[in-house]
Amino acid sequence: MKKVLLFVILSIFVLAVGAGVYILKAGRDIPEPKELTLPIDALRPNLPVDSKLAKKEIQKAEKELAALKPAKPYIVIDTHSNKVFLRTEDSVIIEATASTGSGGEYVDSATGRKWIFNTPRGVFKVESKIPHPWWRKPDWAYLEEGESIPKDQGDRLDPNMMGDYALGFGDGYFIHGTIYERLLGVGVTHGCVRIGSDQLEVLYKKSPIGTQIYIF
Amino acid sequence: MINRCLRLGSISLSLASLLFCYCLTGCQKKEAVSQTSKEEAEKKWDTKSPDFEYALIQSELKLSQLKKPYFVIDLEHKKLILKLSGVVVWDVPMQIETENSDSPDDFSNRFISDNPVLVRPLFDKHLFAGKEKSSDSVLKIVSEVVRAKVDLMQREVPERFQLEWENGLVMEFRTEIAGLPRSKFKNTMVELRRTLQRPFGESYMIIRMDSERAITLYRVAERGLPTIVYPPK
Repeated sequence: MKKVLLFVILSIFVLAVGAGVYILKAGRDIPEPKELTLPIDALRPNLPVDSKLAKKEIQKAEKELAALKPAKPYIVIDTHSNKVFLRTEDSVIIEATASTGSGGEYVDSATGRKWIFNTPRGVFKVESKIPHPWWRKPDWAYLEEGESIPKDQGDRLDPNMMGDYALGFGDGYFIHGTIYERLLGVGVTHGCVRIGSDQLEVLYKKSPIGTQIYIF
Repeated sequence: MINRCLRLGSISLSLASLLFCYCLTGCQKKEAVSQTSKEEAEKKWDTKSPDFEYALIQSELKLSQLKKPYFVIDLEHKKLILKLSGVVVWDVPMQIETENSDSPDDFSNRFISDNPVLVRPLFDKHLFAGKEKSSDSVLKIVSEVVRAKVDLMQREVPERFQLEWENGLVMEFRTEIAGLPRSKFKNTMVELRRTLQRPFGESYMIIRMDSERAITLYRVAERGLPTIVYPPK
């Protein structure tokens, strides 16, 4: 009889502890990473003991930090909410609903060539400004449609797809207009950034060559 | 006999709870114990000192070298900011629900003072409720055209989610939309965990936010997201 009681007590004990541990662990959406900590010590360099030197060091660091901020308005492309902003540190000048890369991929079964349709992330600059741009259809555009790739480069040009203006930011990526304005707000592009015609015109006029572009 | 069993059961439950609490306390203290020598060497930072100001700037300079966004909780200007390469790419004013939140001072002290730590990686996030931005049927049609998976194009609009950093730092975000609970069971577990942890120290803040802005924060807030706090003045 005592053994049964002891077993019951032990079972309840184990269950209660197990439940507690489970509660503490459960409900966490993200899996455990291998490395969670940052090199904190590296982030806390010592200030010189001498007060004058210390003051100089602080001013130098402040200048360095301030130098990171663009002197002129810059473009921000938020691929998470599909938005494009022209902004300064303190205020937003233009906010436009956009379409960014779909994240989809296409593999050409004949050649094994592969394309991943993402908008690149990082820091870029406006490298070119083109009014009335024509789209030079890349290979994937034909392959996706099951069409053959034209030999004549002139056959690739499409005057209607990119809207009235295009701002190039390297590697064939552009901020441009679209004939599919109903899809703005959804990530459906092959990597370029589409915005509506009205906001595109303002963005084009307010963004000279060299304007910084931050994509995240 | 049944009464006896019940009594013994309740005694063992109490014992288990006590042991559980003891384990919890042990876990909480683990970090502190390993840092004892460090703490002795470095006294608690005065957040108004030039040393602290300098360290904060240096920390941001280091973070600005990362290729990914980092999160700035600016309690001085009551702003939440995402920065990329040291430049603001997303910001919202901090609308704190003061009635149910701990003070910004408390949050800042808990974030900074223990080790001391200036940059903490995000430890966890949990979505309590939300809704999908676009209808799946529309996205299904689009996905066939653009050859992308529906879930890549879909965006979760959060109604309520929380971010958690180590050392009992929790920020909960609430928006104006009415969503559906993602998992009632997980939600209960998260709430229960908070209740269990609260007696051992926690700083908890509730922030109101526009749902459109919350989409970005919810998606960017991946585990490990570097976070820096500017203390209130």
